[in-house]
Amino acid sequence: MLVVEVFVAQLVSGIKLGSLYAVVVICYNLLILVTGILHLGYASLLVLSMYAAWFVLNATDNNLILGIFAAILSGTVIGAVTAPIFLPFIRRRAVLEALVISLALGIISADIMSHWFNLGLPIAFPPSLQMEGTAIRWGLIIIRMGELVTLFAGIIIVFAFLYFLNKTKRGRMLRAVAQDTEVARILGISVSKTAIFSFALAGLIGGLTAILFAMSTGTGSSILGDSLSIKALAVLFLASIGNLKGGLICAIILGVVESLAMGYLPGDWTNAIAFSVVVVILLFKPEGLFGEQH
Amino acid sequence: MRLCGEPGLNLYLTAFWRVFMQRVGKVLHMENISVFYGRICAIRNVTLEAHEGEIVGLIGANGAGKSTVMKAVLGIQRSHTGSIQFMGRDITRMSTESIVASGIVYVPEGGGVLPFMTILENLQLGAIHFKGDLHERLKRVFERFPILDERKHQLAGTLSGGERQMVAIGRALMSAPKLVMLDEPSLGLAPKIVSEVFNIILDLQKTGYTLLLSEQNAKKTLQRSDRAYVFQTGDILLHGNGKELLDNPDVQQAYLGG
Repeated sequence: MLVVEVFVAQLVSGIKLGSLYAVVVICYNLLILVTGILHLGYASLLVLSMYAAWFVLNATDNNLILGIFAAILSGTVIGAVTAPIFLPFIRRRAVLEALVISLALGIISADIMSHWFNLGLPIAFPPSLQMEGTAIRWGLIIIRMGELVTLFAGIIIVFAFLYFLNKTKRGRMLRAVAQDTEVARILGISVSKTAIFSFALAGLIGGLTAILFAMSTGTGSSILGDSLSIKALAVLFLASIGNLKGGLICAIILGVVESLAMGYLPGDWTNAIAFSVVVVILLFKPEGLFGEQH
Repeated sequence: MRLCGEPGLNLYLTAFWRVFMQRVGKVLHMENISVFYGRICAIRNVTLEAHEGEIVGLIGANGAGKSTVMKAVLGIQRSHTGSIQFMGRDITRMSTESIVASGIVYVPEGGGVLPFMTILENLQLGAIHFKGDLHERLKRVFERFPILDERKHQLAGTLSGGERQMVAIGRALMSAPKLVMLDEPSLGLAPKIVSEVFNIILDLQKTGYTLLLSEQNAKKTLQRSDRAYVFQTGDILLHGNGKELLDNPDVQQAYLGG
């Protein structure tokens, strides 16, 4: 019985982690599809939103609403403000230059976080944000309210995003640009405005995810961005870049594998496992598990 | 036309009337437009016009500059000289977005349908700048092309060439445009479907649309054009009434196989 309980606990924690990865991966895919850019610095910018929330929480004596608002607003603003830097490269389809710039943005923001905030120490979020209360208790398994909220919020964000993409006018415009930039232009869609919009949207979702990470882990640090972007890369290549559904499935799988590995293996082997699988997949199925599909 | 008794004033009023009618009836007026791709000149000092309800044919060989004319109108290719007027408004420096919003649509070669979207989604994308009743518009397009209504949830990528062309034309009509530019609509289609496409074009004219039609199929185009321009390596070689050009010996020799 104990064995089953431990396993279920790890599984739930893995799905929760996976749903967060899924949200992050969906934003990577959004930017890749619409702008053609693999935004390596995106995860660090997401962590910057965590820092913005932490800063506001400290300044307002842990006003949760203001803290959450700060994360969402900072994410959106960072996305919209950094987008114009990429526009000339998007137009020239200079993917490698854009990759370096995105990496640079990530490095700069990581350095800002480690030098200007909390003396470079990891930040801690107030227990009220983590919702310490027990939501579900089953034998050894205790699931905190915050974890439950994180899990459902992650799933809701993913479905809301898919609804937006498939059922709204703006979403269709994004997909049109993603499928064929030339045709989108002919239809009177501004490719630059759509690119800026998708950066802002990815930033907004990033801000929300930052809050979910804060809720789920209770802490944050400037190097969180690096590990997050490594995970996102693994999922992207595993599922095949640009495949939204494949990305979701692989993100959940990675979350579960990571959680089980942490529960049953000594030391954290997740990245090694994930990237070993990536290497094998790329060798035998270069288009990724889910092939090329928009 | 005699407008009043005074002969001098009469002459003046007649001239005014002519200019007024030209302004009112003229949908597109392109003057001295030149477009370069790097150092290569795609069109040189092109001047052309389209009046309300006309089919204006652009004929010429591949690479003669027909598509470039349309791309210049849409602002995708920019000209450093000349001007483009649409419904009496200067659109030379306007963004493609604003040009489309002002009522010009372009159906590129092959239709340019988005293969991973359904027929319905493709049509909806044609109306992103349309301010009126979208359902009404959609209903009209489905009345014109009933087959699209039956298969509206099918992915556009699964359609045949002729059906794709229907989606593309339907999508163009979604925004209730003033000027429809069709780039080689019959290219790569079976002869029977080509006739169908030309019937659709004539039908569009009857409904009151002004059409700019680029074609390599010179005979069919000239037969149906109210005004036509013959392009050769970026220049307008000849222009005039479609039927006149059809009788022109040079045109016959070059484009109609003697």
